[in-house]
Amino acid sequence: MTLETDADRLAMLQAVGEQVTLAGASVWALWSSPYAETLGVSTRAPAVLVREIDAAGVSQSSQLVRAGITYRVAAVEPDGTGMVTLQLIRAS
Amino acid sequence: MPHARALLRNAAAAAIATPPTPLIAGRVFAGRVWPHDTGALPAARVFTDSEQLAFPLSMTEVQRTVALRVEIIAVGLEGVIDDAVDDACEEVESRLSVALTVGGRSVRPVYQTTDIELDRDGERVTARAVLTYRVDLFTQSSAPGTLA
Repeated sequence: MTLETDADRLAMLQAVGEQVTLAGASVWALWSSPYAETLGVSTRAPAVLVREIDAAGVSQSSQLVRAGITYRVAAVEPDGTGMVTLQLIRAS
Repeated sequence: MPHARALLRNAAAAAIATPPTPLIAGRVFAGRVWPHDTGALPAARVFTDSEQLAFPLSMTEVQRTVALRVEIIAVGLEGVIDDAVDDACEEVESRLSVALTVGGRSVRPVYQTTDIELDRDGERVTARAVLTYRVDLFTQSSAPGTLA
């Protein structure tokens, strides 16, 4: 039984997310940038949550553009339910 | 009276910071433990985390072989971060290539190793270089802050 469809996921992202450019295509995403600490530096750990079908073909060399800032995908983390978290690192 | 290690850390930090260097000016710390802000990097932290003792001449004079370490932290984009941390290392190495005055004595740090680590978990790549120097200090055994 399907509890949630891709259309449901898109509706959720359209309700609370924003549009970003992922690998050249415009997709809906939920942006987060929580506090992180790495090697004794206070920083942020930017990431987006997108639908798995929108991230097909995305790899560690893919780029994401948000608010004029270009990021490189550092990790692709599918959650197994149709959504994917993309860990990002600034490329510009 | 401060311990000889404290005198050494302060002397090394002062030598790195004065006169100001182009990259890490104003961001040299002796004993900092709190996290750096990405807007205030590169920065350097001076610390001493080990010491070996010997009594080469008498039981009243101690030879302290101290590991003086300078940790350099930098952040940057992939492809340029290695150069950024090496540029900061160049500043530190050149400043510590001469003798320091510690407790009124001339002490020469002996450069031994550099260990560099990169971390990609943040918004930008973070690099940490730890430069290790060996420093021999001679103190009175009853007065660890008094250099012999």
